[in-house]
Amino acid sequence: MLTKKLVTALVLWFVSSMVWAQLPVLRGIGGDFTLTSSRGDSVSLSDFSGKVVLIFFGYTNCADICPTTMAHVSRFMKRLPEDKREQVQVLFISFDTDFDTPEHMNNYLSFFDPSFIGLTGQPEAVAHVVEQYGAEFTKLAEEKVTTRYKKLSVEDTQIERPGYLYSHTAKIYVIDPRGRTRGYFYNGTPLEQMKADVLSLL
Amino acid sequence: MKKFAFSLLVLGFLAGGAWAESKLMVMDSWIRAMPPSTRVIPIYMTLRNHGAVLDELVAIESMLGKVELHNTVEKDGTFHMIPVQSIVIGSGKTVQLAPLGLHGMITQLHQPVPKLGDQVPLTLVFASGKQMAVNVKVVQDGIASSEHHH
Repeated sequence: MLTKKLVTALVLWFVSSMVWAQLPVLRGIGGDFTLTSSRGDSVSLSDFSGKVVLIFFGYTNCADICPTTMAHVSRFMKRLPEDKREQVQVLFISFDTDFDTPEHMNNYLSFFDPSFIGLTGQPEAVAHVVEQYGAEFTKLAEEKVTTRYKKLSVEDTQIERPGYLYSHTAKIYVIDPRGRTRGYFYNGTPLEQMKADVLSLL
Repeated sequence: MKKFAFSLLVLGFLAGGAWAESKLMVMDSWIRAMPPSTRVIPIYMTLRNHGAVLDELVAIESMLGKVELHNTVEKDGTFHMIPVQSIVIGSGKTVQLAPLGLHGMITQLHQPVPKLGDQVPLTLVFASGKQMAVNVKVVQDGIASSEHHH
């Protein structure tokens, strides 16, 4: 009787440790932080305790990487059954503090997926989070990407702010329901693998 | 014999006298649908050179704004966008402008951002002086997307 229980316990422990081994807890990368959300309020990673969080660093004037990543993650979200989808939160952190206001980010992200939350803040605050996560970003040439078309949105009318281009880390950080960094997804990560990995964390 | 030669000549002219001229096909072109407040719009396409001569794309023109050619390059986990002067498509070669690689980028927009389903006319300009007009559709996820049949 005791042996059976012991064996069952051992098997369960072994199986669960195999799952954990696929996505080991990455020490020294990540951690809690507080930034301003695209919805206007103050948001911390710990607010999403109990959910799997996917974090991506980018900026809205990014033509290729960021929209491609947003599309990839959005496709992944659609693969999850609805009850699981509600347990996953995507956070897009913009390091382009000159250009990406919370309102602008909200307009941008809601186009890709209304559940995505954009975060930004004071340059030092964002730089700190970038560093916490072992990511990086560099402002490139002084190129203007602004539009002269005035009707776009209320904030754009008068001032033509220069939009700079950046090079940056494009990893998608996978955070478990306890706020710990467990791994990375990339644009090339197959959707089925992303689904299996995320479901294993929930 | 004369008749045959003459027919060949006519055919040759009909085909645009195309023996040594370039034969470039533009396939699977697409523009990613972007939020209406975007300042940048990516252009992707496949260029296949069937001809005996190399083609060199030097510019893409659009009424929407200024188009730049870029290449997304990865170095140590960081992605950089490098401006590209031209894109060479060698004889018999196929070059893809695709996500995370070569792409066109429309900036300095002076028209509204095109919507999903719109057709955007573009002109491809080549070093040889050749110009090709293409109509590119705005789609959610490209034709060249690798996730198509997952």
